[in-house]
Amino acid sequence: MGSTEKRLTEPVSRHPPGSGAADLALIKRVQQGDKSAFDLLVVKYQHKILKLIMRYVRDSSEALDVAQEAFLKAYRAAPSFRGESAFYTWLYRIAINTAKNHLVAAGRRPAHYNLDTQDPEQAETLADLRDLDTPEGIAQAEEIRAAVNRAISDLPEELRTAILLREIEGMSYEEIAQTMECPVGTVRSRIFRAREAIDREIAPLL
Amino acid sequence: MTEQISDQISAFIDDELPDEESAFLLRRFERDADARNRALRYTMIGAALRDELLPDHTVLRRRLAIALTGAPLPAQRAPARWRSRYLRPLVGVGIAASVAVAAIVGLRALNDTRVGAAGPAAAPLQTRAVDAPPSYVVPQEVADAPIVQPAVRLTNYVVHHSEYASRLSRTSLRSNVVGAAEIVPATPPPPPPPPFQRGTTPE
Repeated sequence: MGSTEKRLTEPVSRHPPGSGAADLALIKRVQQGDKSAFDLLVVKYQHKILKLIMRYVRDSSEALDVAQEAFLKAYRAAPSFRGESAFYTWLYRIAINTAKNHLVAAGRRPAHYNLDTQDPEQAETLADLRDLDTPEGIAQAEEIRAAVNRAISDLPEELRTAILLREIEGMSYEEIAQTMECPVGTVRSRIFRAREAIDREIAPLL
Repeated sequence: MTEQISDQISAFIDDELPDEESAFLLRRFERDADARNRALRYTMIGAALRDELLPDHTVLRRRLAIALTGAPLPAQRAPARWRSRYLRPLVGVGIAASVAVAAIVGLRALNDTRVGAAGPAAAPLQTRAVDAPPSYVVPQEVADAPIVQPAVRLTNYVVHHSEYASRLSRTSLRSNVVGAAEIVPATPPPPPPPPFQRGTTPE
C-alpha cells in the first residue's frame, strides 16, 4: 500500500478527457439520433464547458446561454464529427467559437484574448462558477458532496483507493492494477463496488 | 437491473468496456431509463469527487432537452404530459361550468330583484284581498300598472253592468258569477203553489 500512497501524492499524467472509447461510442449513437447518448455527454462535460465559457462571458446567465448554444451546435454538427480528434477537443473548439461569436454579436471584447484555444487543458482551472450558484443549488450540491464524502470514508480501504485513483488521479485500470498490485479485473470490481456504495447514498438525493 | 449491467456501466464511463459491450450497453440506454440514470449518477460521483459538481446540475440539461425535443427531461415529462392532456380540458370544463353557474345565479338574482320590486305593490293587493270584505273589484291604486289596467276597467264595467242588467240579460257565465251576489230581490218571491191534490179543484 506504500506504493499506492506514493502514487496518490505524486500527480500522474491524466488521460485527456473525452479521448476514450466511451465518448466515441456515445457520439456514434448521437449521429444515429440517440438524444439520451448526447445527454450523457452533456452531464460529463457541462462543468468543463461552463468553466471555459465563463472565462469569456462573466455573467452566469449569459454563460449558460452560450453553453446551451455550444452544445446545440455540437449536437447539430455531430454528423460531421469524424473522430479525428477527441470528442472533448472538438466540443472545446465549438464552445470557444460560440463564446467569441457571442461577444462579437454583443459588441464586446473577450475577457481573455491570450487563451490558447488549441489547448483544452489550459482553460480548466481559473474560471469561477460561483455566480451560477443559488442558495438551493448550493445546498443540494453540498448535500451530494457530503454524502459522497461520507460514503467514501465508510468504504473499505481497497475500494476507496481504487476509486480515488480512478476519479482523482485519472488512472486507467491497468495503471491502478500496477499500483495496487492486483489484477485488472479486481480493479474493475473494486471501482464498481465503490460506486455502488456511493450511489446508494446519493440516489435518494437526486 | 442486474449487477452485471451496473458493472458494465461503471466500466463504460471509465472507458474500460470493450467496444461490443459498449454498443450493447448504449442500445440498452435508449430503452432503459434506470440504466441511463445510473450512468448519470456514476458520472456525478466523479464530478463530486473532483469538486466539479454544478450547483444546479440539471439546468443545462433541461434547457437542452427542451431545445432539442421541445419537451422537458424524461423524468419531468410525466407531469407536463398530465398537465397538457388532463389539466387543460379540466380547466376548460371548470371555466365553462363557472360561467354557467354565474349565469344561472345572475338570472335568478335578476328575477328575484324584479319580483322584489313588484312585491311591495303586489303585497297590499293580496293582503287587502284577504282582509277586506270580498270584492271582485281590483283596487284602483293597484290598477296603475298599465298591464293590468284593461282588466280592471273590464272588471269594473262587468260589475257595474251586472248591477243594472236583468237576470235574464246576463248571458255570459262571468256576468252571472259576478252579478249573482249583489242581486238582492226587492220583494220576497211568492210562496210556491201548494201541491196539487186529487179530488180538489183549483180555485
